[in-house]
Amino acid sequence: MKLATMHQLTLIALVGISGTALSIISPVSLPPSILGMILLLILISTRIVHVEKVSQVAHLFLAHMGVMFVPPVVGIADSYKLLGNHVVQFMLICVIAMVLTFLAALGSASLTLRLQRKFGKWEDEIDA
Amino acid sequence: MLETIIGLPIFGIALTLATYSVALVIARRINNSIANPTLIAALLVVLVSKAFGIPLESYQVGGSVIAMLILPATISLAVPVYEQRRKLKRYFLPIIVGCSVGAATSLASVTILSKLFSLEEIPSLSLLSKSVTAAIAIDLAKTLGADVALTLMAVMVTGISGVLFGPPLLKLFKVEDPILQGISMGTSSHVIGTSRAMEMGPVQGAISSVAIFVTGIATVVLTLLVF
Repeated sequence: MKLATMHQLTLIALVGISGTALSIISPVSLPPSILGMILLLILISTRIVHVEKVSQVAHLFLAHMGVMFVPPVVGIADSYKLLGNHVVQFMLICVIAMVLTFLAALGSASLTLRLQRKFGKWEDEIDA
Repeated sequence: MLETIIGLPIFGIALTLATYSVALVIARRINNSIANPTLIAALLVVLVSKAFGIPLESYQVGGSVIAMLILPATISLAVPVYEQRRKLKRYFLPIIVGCSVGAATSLASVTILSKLFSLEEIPSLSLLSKSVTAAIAIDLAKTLGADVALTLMAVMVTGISGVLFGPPLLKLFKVEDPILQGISMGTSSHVIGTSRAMEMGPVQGAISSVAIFVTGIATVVLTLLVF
């Protein structure tokens, strides 16, 4: 493994530890992953850490995110027993609510975007 | 000897990687968003375990090692967010509005549907944090007194349905704007939806990453205010 890759992995691991530590001491229950994400974003934005110093490993993690969710999805096979005879209803609620959430987010964001384009200062051409 | 091997972390790790590799080939052959590699791999793990009489707890010894990578992967979302910062600044308002309305819709629809399907209190509470990413959902479930395993189940089913139904919905409504695609995927189906948005393109992936964060905050605030 290249030294640069090892540095990138170490940096992300250190951000992970810091995020976990922040989560423990924070009064509001914010999860380590979100705090870690904010922390890394601050480090990159303030140029304390150059984005090139983490981008290779970060993109590697992101490209293989699908495989990381296999064990939690397998875990469903066990937890459904807790629902007794309400399994189908529980699943249906998840699916229906997902579709409604999707449409509500899509509709409201689309409307805001249209209003913003109509009334706001719009500089689409500049960095298009 | 076989029992010793099955109880080792390397067994679950190898089974996850092997089934995911097979799932990628199957998904490529089928070439439809319904054929999601994560879902296919999970089904294969369950089938293999049942066929050989392997308890799922043994599989999870190694599986949990793979799942630990979700933390560094979620942290890594900061990189595409930074790379798309100009777009994010520009689309700040639609993102905030889309995520907040989405979070409110999720909470309201779950509450109404739980009553409609006469679900008991614990499963209903467990459904509340279904639209946020697993890490936030677990914390929220504990605060609400919901069941963590059921919450995780709701999060997973929601994520999977986002991957399955999100792209066809975008096609149905002819949504070609990458910003709107990212907002709707991230708001409705968190990190799992974002992993699908990443495949659509870098802009969709970055916007979806921000949407996870904003939806998470909006859901926590709304839930603590209302419930």
